[in-house]
Amino acid sequence: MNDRLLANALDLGQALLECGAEINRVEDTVRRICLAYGALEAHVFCIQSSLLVTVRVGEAAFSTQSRRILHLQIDLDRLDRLNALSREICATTPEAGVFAGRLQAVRSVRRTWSPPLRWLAGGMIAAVFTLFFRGTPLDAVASFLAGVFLQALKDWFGRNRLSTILTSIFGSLLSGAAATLLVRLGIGSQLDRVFIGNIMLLIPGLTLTTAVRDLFDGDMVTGLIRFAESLVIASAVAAGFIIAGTLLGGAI
Amino acid sequence: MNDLLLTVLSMLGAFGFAVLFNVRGWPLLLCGLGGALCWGSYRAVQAGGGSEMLSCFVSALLVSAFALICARLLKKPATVFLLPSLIPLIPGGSLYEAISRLMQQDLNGFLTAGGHTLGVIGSLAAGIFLFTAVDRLIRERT
Repeated sequence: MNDRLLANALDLGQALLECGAEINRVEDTVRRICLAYGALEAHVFCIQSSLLVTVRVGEAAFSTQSRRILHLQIDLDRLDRLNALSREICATTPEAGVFAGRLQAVRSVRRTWSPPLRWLAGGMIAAVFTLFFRGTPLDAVASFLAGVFLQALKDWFGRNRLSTILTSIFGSLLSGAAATLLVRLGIGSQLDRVFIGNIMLLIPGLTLTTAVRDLFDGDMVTGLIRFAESLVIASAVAAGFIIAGTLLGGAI
Repeated sequence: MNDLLLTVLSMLGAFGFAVLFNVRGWPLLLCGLGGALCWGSYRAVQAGGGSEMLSCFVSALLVSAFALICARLLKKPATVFLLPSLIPLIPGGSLYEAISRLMQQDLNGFLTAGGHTLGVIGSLAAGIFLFTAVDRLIRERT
């Protein structure tokens, strides 16, 4: 195993982490690839923001590389394709150039649903949760409209690489304002029920669950970081909705 | 509101998140089905007299099993099915409630909602963890 192959293995690990793979899966995948290419030992350490690998390639020959992970966005289609690629790599061990080419092919193509469909999905989620929390059908309509707006906003922030925390603050503030205006216009009556649907699009409940799962899995550092991260983001979301509600709609 | 309607809503919610998470093709429908299973099993255990935490735990076990079966059949990572399917039970509402109580300096409200959030999340994580651990054990033995 040479440095180029090791770089490829780390790039694959990084790509996996960035689309939302579990820490376990990343460590396991990178270790398998290193061993498949003939490394004598592979020591992989991964947290949600960093990947560190040392391989032993000879009696006294070691090689270490690391990667810093900055962006995480759940993309299950890419996760699936990267997973398939890593299986194939382990089975066929192609040379470094081919490996890099295949990885680049997966990374450069981002197969998302078309933007209007994503916006509709966002609106649908918001409406569904408004109904779930006993909102009236008219509340759900307001929630749907605010949800479409919020999802479009989130996608736009995402394209401009805005940090998660800023996305949460501005997203909650603006969609909260939109919901308040809709209720004032007479679409929907219970503002808190309209809010809750939109909150579901922003609140990091899934991250918090993943955090606790990481803790159980023994990935303490990642678990604690994600736990803290989701509490900070939840605070940003709450602040945004509270400000929007008090400025425009009186009490919530 | 009746349980059937809520189950349909759960299905739509899971489906919506599956779209946002870029799940494509057939698995989208399976994610919706997983969401229905998630809420349905939770309500079933509750109707049988189980506590909320127990219901969440059992539901998480079943959803993990469902995700694993789908994963094996379609040769995809189980995460693809697991994350969207869990959506109906993720306590986003009570997490928000807890934080906003804290911001309004209502400490009792914060503790109640926060405790509830942690309980549900802990039960879900325990269910998923237990299932994954058992699955790993079985696979390493064979």
